Amino acid sequence: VNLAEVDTLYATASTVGQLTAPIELVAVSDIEGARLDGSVRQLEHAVQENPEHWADLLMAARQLRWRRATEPQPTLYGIDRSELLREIIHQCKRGRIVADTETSRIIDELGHHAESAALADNPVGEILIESIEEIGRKDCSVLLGSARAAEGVRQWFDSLGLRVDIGGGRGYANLQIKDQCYCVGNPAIFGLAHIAAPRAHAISHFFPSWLRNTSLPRSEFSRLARGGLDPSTRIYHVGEDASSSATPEHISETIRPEPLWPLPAPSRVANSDEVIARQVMLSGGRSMWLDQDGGWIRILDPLQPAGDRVHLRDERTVAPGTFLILREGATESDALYARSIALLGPSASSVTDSQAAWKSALASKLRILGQHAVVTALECEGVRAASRAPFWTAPTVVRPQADSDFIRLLGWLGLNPDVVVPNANRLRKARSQAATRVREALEDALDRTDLDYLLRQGHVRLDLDLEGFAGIIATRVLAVSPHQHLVPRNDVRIASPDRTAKWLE
Amino acid sequence: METELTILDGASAIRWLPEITTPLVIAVIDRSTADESAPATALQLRASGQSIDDLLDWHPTTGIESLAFRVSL
Repeated sequence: VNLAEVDTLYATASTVGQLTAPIELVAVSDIEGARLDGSVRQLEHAVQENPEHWADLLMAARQLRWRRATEPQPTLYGIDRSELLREIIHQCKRGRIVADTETSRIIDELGHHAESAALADNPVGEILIESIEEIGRKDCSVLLGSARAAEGVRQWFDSLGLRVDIGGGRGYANLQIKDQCYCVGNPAIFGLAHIAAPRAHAISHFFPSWLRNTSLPRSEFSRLARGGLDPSTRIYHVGEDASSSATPEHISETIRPEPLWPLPAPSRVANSDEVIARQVMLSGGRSMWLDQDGGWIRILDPLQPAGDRVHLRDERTVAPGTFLILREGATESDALYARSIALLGPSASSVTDSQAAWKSALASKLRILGQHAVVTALECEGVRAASRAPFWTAPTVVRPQADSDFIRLLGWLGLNPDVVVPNANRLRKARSQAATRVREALEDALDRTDLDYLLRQGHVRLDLDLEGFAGIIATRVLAVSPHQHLVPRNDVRIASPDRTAKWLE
Repeated sequence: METELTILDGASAIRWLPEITTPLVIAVIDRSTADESAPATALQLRASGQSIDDLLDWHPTTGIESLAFRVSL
């Protein structure tokens, strides 16, 4: 990217959404989609007392509604759509057995409307093609709300001989700057990026009119910043709108399928083997517990240049769309620890003894006083990361990050920092060498991996040429639970199969 | 000589922002990534500090958004 191109990017960002070029929102009448949406809402309402019993049907039906909202291509190019419809019909049959009369009626209608919505072409597609022909194929790009939608549209356009730049999921930043970008779906299903850093001089959103939320997301940063972007919109309606008027909760909600998260147990004091974690749904039908104490987790950014794709990230900032690098069946830190100890050579035993001394002193304080009292006491000592204390007892966690925290902790435990700190630092240095080696091996493995496949598919296995690092996967985070749970420390960061993750993608 | 200025470019650098102790820090946030951790880190730090947008005598090119704040170390 040269300076002139950078200049163009900023100039584009400052014009898109201004009064001379507002973001166009085109709401297209879609009878089949509106009926499906109505049935899904009725079912949600009817089973709101115990939605978990209806999870399979609800998840599958919401997934079909999501695809109706985001996939403009004809049925023929809807990837896995018939499989999804079969699942809905199957779940409808199962549900009828236990449902009361009213719920049975809703389920029958849902099955019927799901079939129509899965088989009828989406009227948004027709408007999209007309608009592309009108402006000229060379001067526009099309942005989709998911990698699946982008792949389906690509196949559809290929069959029409239509050569148009297509972006989907996270690939949009690589698009060339065009006169016009057509986005399929309402603004709420896209993030902020395509408007805040646009790749077109004008942006239009096409979506079925039963999607009521026409607000633009706006970042907190833009709201506070000097020169903060504040794009305006103009709404157009295409076709007769048959659906009834919306209630406010219909307007603000998001249509993206969310898992039915288990609710946390009533709050209680954690015992020494438990940590606070959130459930995370992963591509490939898996889920895992992710600890929430400010530790780091390895992530992959497939769009960065080679050598700069693997990073460590604060686990609390993991969000849908992030690619995580995980070791199947065990956490990465165990293997990393083993390698660090090996790197220490003859001094390994004095380091592990010294580490064991302060860790066992801390562990016994935690056992005797309890987690809460230990954290409070450390806070009083001025230990900034005191809430991480329960983690510091694990052999794989080398030491508190800040020197001042570590020295205050050792003082509180009555230990001599002059011995403990240098030993911990030796281990930290070895660990950082081991981590660098892992990062290099990951980058090497990524060179041999089809990253386009990863972006499309959401997960891929990486073959690392490194002992103790077999079975590494890169997988996209699909959803993060809003609830925090207390889970056994040994259960975190282990990806295991989860049926409910299946209909999220 | 003491380091006077740190420049953090992109999300993976900006995660270090709370740890940096130079008198001046410039964090360059890329709006084209879906990753919102970088602006979140900056805003979190700003909440504990004081805005100095009025003192900043810099008028960036159109399209650039800027925030200036001071925190105690």
